[in-house]
Amino acid sequence: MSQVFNFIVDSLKIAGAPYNIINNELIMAQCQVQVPRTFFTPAHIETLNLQIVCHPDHLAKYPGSELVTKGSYRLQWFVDGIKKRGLIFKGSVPYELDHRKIERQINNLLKEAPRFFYKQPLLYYQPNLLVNFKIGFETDEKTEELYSLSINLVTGEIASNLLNELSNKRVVTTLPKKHLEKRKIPYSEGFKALSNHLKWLLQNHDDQWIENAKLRWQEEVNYLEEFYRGEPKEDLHAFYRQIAEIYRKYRPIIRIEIINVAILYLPIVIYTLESWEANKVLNPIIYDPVKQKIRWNGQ
Amino acid sequence: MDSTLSTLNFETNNRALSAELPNFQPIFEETNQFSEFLLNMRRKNWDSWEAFQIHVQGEEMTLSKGFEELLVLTHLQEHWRKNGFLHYPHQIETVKKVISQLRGRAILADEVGLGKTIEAAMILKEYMLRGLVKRFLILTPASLCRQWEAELREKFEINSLIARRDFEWSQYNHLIASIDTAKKEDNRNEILKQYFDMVIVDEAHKLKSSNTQNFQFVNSIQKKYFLLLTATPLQNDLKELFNLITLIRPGQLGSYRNFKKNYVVDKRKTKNVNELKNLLGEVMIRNKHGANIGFTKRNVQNIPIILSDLEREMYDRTTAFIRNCLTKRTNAMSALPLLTLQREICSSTFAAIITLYKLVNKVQIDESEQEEAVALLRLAQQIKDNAKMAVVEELVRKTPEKVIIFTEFLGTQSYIRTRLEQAGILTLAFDGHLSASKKEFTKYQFKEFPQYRALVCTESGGEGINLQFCNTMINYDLPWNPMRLEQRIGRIHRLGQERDVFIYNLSIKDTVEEHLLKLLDEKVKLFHSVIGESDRVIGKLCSGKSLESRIMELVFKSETHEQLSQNFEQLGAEIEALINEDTPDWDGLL
Repeated sequence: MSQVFNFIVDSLKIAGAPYNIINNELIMAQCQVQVPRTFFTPAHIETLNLQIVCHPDHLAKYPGSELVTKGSYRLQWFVDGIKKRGLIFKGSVPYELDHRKIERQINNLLKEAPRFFYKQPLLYYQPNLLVNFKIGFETDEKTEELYSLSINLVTGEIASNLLNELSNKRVVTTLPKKHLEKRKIPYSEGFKALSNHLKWLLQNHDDQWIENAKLRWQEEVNYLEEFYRGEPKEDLHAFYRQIAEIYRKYRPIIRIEIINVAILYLPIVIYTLESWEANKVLNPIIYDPVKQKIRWNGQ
Repeated sequence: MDSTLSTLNFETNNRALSAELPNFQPIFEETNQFSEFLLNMRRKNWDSWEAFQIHVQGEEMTLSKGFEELLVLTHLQEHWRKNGFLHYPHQIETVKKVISQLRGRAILADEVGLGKTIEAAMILKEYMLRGLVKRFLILTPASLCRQWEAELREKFEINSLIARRDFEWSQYNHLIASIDTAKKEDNRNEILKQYFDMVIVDEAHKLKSSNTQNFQFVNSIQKKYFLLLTATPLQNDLKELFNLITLIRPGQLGSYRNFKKNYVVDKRKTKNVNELKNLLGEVMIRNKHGANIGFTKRNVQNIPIILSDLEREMYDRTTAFIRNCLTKRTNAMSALPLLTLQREICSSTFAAIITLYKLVNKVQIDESEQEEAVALLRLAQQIKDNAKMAVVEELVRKTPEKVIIFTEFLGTQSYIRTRLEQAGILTLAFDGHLSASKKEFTKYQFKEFPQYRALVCTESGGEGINLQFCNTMINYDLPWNPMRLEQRIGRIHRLGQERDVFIYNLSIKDTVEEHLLKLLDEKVKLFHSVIGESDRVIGKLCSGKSLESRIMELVFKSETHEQLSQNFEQLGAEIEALINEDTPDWDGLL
């Protein structure tokens, strides 16, 4: 099944619209559509029956069906609809303390064989702010990219792949009753840090798109100069007016749009250790089961 | 005054300019604020993780990536499939070229009927889908505003407003306006304050002179992307082309002085054609009728009509009366009603009656002429039926298709309708009196309701309206201007017409009409050439003294049918010579 097919099925599921899938080829769905107030006051709800296929070959097999592919109007319709959902999320990644399993995982992450005994592990949930951004690189042309950044609201650590890491994890809307760590960084401060980090990333982004636009703009300026060369001085005003008009077309703009925001409580396991050597005190190991990382500086 | 001071010194100015030019550093713009999300968080409007993920996935699938693929094609494929709208490879190529190579500023100069409007609308939609165009303004002749609005809505799902009042220019983002409305002082002032992401000017040959108000107004509008649509970017003078190019990209052809020096021999002759052609190719696209762009077949049948005795008497006496009046004409009486009467009598006696009645009541006319006019009026009143009508009725009955009947006169139009309705054939009327919305509604009724078999149009009514869903046309009378005849045919024979087209021309034997039809058919080859080819011929015929006035002159000069026939032969020979004469240099240029 194609990505579009899955997306539509998921959207219908989330919207709570009744649907039926036939042969993994046809989606029959019933959607409620709000007819704008322009026509009805208050807005009127109508039922829209959809028969969707996502492959051109299936069109003939299911007469009356609509082909939905990447870039199609109906896909945009679903995307526009789903944009009103999933704007903010608060939840956690539940984690079960399983000594043997955790120890095995930590051992795998250590560079050398451990020379210590594991003692009691402690489980904490730390708040993280995850923000997804859509970035538009705009001149007279436009390309867009998605950036997903997160900040640990306790440690201030910024990461750029949390969303991917969570894709195969179970995320729930409930928060654990115990071991919730309080945030040390307020949401707005956290967002500010993410925003600054994003700008730093964008400043270091490949600037070929700016260079290309600059060349195009310079070419236009040269044409204008050629046109006004030898013209009376009164035309200077028109010259600069046109320069300004062209600049407005080619100037590089980076548009930052926040897509959605999540507050995620992610598990952190802290293991206290006991060294094999007597009188040697070891720092605890901090294990992040979501990112599969450890933080430990030995003694 | 020192001449060096009165001109721009670019050596100095370049330095000043480079200092003043912006440094091209990217500007950061935030489209929404975190506080909006924070507010929702405080209100605890939390959603599910699945919804959160699918939202991101949706955004990811609709990200804008380069110009390699046209979004408009996939975006509207279903809509077009359902509505039976077809696009053509040359249109796609044009859209791709304008967007990726010409950077959204171009002259679309396709020959008539190749779908310039569609190309422009596709470019507009493509930019809108990419989020690069949010505000646009389309300037067209007033008669085409409604058609643009309908095409954008029906074929491209773009809702727009036909703007008329000064507050609308800043209030709405998708605007269509007649250029005459837009340039009125109040509107003009408002428009010039705005910035438009895209401006489209239809029938842009009206901007060919840089001294006109139209040119200066359009040039002053602040815009990002800019399209000029014209089938005739070059008519009489190379300066016209220079001016159009200057609107799109000043300096593309250098300054006018350089342009003249490098490319102009005289106003109709060019030099360095290949170099100039390359420069034009950077701002202009011209698709021509050819092997790659197919049209359906045009079947033309000329049907000679023999007048009844009474009609013949009426025709002969009216022609003699007009000739007589014109010979004796004093300044007090205008020739116009007489000229109209001559054309009307070729159309139908019912059209002539109205003018005759007006003539009878005119004070300036002398007594003998008035008596003759009264006699003619009485004679006309005796004629209850015209020979042409029987043929029309038979044609409408015979064909299973819906039929468009064109006439030049309102009197004839109402006669045709009355007669057809008496015969049990339901008709609709299309004329210049209908408002734009009524026209749209009439078109809809004619298209959708099978009981309406015929649409009886006058030329002013049918102007700019596309009726490709029909394939049969009857020319009840013939306009004396071939351009108007070509426009009539263009209503049904254009891109999008999927079936062969049938055109029936009615002409009365031994009248001007018979000679005129022969001239248009055999010499101008109006009915047989592909669309666009005849355009060139007509363009030639209509430069200088119009063909219409030449024909009028012939009619009044000829006292007998033989003379008339001889004079038409002579005109035909002249036209042939004109067509065969060397075409100006720019035929290879465009």
